[in-house]
Amino acid sequence: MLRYTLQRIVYMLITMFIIATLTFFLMKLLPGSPLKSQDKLTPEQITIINEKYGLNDPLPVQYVHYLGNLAKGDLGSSFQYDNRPVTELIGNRIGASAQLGFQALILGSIVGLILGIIAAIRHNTIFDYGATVLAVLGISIPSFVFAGFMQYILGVKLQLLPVALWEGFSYTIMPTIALSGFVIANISRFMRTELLEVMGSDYIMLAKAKGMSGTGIIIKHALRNALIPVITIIGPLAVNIMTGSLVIEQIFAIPGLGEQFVKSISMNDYTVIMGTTIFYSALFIFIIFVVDILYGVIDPRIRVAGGKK
Amino acid sequence: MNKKFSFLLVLVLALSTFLAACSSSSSDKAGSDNKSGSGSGSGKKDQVLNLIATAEIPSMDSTLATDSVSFLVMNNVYEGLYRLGKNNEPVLGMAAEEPKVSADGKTYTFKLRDAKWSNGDPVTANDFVYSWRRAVDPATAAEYAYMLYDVKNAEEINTGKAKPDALGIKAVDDKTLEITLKNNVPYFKSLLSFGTFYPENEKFVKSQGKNYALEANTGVYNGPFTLSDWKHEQSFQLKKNPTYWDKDTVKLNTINFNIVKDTATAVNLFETNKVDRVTLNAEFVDKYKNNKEFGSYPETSVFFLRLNEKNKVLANRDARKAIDMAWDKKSFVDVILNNGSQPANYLVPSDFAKGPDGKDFRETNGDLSKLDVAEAKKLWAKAKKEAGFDKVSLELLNYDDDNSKKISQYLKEQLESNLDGLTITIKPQPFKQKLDLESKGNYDFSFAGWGPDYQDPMTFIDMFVTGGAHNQMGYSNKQYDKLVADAKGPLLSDLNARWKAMLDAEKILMDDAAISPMYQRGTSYLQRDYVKGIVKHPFGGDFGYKWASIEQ
Repeated sequence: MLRYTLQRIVYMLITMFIIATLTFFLMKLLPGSPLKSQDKLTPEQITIINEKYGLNDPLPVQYVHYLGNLAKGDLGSSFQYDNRPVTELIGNRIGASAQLGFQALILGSIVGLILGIIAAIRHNTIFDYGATVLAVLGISIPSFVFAGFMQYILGVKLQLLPVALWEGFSYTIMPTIALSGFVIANISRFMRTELLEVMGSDYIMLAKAKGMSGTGIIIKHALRNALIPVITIIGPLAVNIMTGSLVIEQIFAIPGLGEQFVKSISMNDYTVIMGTTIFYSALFIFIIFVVDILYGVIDPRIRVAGGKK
Repeated sequence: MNKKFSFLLVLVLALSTFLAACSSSSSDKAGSDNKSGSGSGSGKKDQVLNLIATAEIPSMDSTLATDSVSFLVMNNVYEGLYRLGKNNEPVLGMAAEEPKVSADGKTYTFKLRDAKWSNGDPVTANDFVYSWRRAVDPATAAEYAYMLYDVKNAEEINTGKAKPDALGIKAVDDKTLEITLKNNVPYFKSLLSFGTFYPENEKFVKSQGKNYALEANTGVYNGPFTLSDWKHEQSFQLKKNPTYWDKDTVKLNTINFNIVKDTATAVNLFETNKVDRVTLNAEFVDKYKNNKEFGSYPETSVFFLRLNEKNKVLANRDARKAIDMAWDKKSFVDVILNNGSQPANYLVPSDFAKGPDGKDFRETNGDLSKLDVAEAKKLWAKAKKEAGFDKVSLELLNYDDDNSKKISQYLKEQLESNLDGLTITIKPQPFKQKLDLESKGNYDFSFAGWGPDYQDPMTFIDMFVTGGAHNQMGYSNKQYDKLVADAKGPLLSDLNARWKAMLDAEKILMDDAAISPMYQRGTSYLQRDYVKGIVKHPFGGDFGYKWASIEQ
């Protein structure tokens, strides 16, 4: 297990290096300058300022310089936010995004699993169709429509929950629900399909033939097997939530990282583009790693390192 | 089973339409409910103003800031030698009295008043010397260093040809400041109210090092308010500054800003009494324009089409004139923008600068072009002969946001239907890429805008001089170049003649149809009745809260 983990960490570092390199050169292909008032400055003034940031150097020099700083853990300072270190910029915003993402993932997974199980057990009944309709709506209604609608009804009309802002737990309820819709929809569909498949397999028949109760079979045998594929999609869903929270963050005025990820690109804010990309890819790689480890816990058959010798 | 399924689907759909109907029909009621609710708002007696900012503050370092949110906050927490007053005239700030000006108008000697920074340090002449030198020092890489180019040697220092201590500013003693200009520009006093000209407390800046002004408590303030709390990307708060020299004028105790980027969300916060003022976009203007809390004002940014003369059709004056006259600016502003913007047939905005005669620039020069489709068609036919084309396809370069797409579509529809043989292809580009293409001249015509750098028509007028950095469209007219050069040089000592030169220069630009002006941007907003005295400024920080108050 330890050897496997170490091996994986080496792969993770190599992946990060490739991502950083690709992003760096792709980013430099973007036309335009990272300066905020590009439209107000003359080309000579831009050259003077670029000099200070080393942007007049040849690309390979800039690249080596960047990697050197990265190895030291220095992501540089933002252009949009004068002199603010990128690590601090990400640090200031990640808290809200992470809390929101975590809550949405937990809520989405629980509700999704329950809906999926109900749909599978009572399949071809009104419950099943109900869950299907919810899932279709969850996937097809854009989250900003749902969020705007919910904000208007619960926030403005009924005044049950705060309209927006980020000042305490009650402020997180609506954005969490809005963000979890996609997760609920995905997980419930997956869970239903997997559970139905497992329920039809031979060993479940055997368990039934031996006289086990229906609930016992589901909890002891069916669920465990059906969960494996579901866990696979939780990883990507988690990343999806983190990067896709931009719209929800805007609508509920949440001080998250989502917008920076997009805005830094349109502003050519080189250091922030690199910083957020590296951060998100590290997160993604880490989640995949955790999912791989979890497989082994749930299903000893696919223990990653080939099991104990 | 199909039956059950479709029944459920119908049920869900029916339910959702019912809910949707509810929400739209009851919106008026919400407005009236809230009015009674706002009476008991705790904000009223406490002198607390609740506002919205549309973005995180990019910078609180007055030397480095370049954007409207930063300048808005700075205008209320810092103060230069002057500040823009209630009537947008420069009034004394850190300066104790009007300066002594030398006969040639190039040397200003200021006496500073006994003002303090919020940490108790006195504001001294050296604070100005330090911050101005820091701004033009190329090592600082301040993007707005060019704002100081009217000061002697500023440009030389910024381009590395002189040392920062050669700058035309000198602390004669702690309270006396001597400034030497390159040119005796008439707008220098209002320039002194601009952010880049604020003083900075040298000792404090150096003691904070890299952290200076990155947090509320790593900055120091000399304005009517202090930045007291700053939660990045979330909110910030201004508190009345007890060490401000004119603190008796300041009535508000606290101004709370929440950062909200979505207009619908901002309006919902207004509806639920969380904020006292909100800016509207086109969709909400229709809904609220008869509300008594509704208002709008013109801004000083002007938007126009750049007509690139590298294109052989657009190099023809008649073709350019035809394009300018062939599209309806009034309905464009009413239908597409619908936010208080006004159609523009000019370059220099209205309500921006007054001449030596006390008249607004716009009042004297009036409208310099008009909608005339019949005349446009004639000119277009003439241009076809002169430039030798029958059909032409022009590329419209624009930004890629939703609003810009609407603008492009409108122009395409109008111009194609009014000018025979013209096809327009739309090229939407991300913000920086659009600017880059424009500065390289790789476009036929483009949507562009300009906001003032200082309170004088010249900030607009000199954009299109031959070879100028902001020309970007190959326009050249010797007579116009001369008028601009005169107004910037020999005529500085004859303000009436200078004003006339600028008026004439604008006429030439418009007569050449160098650009096709589109609109002067406006802003529509909702504001509670009990909020009084917020002053809207034409340049620098958008608003002054020094004179604002909450009243019964």
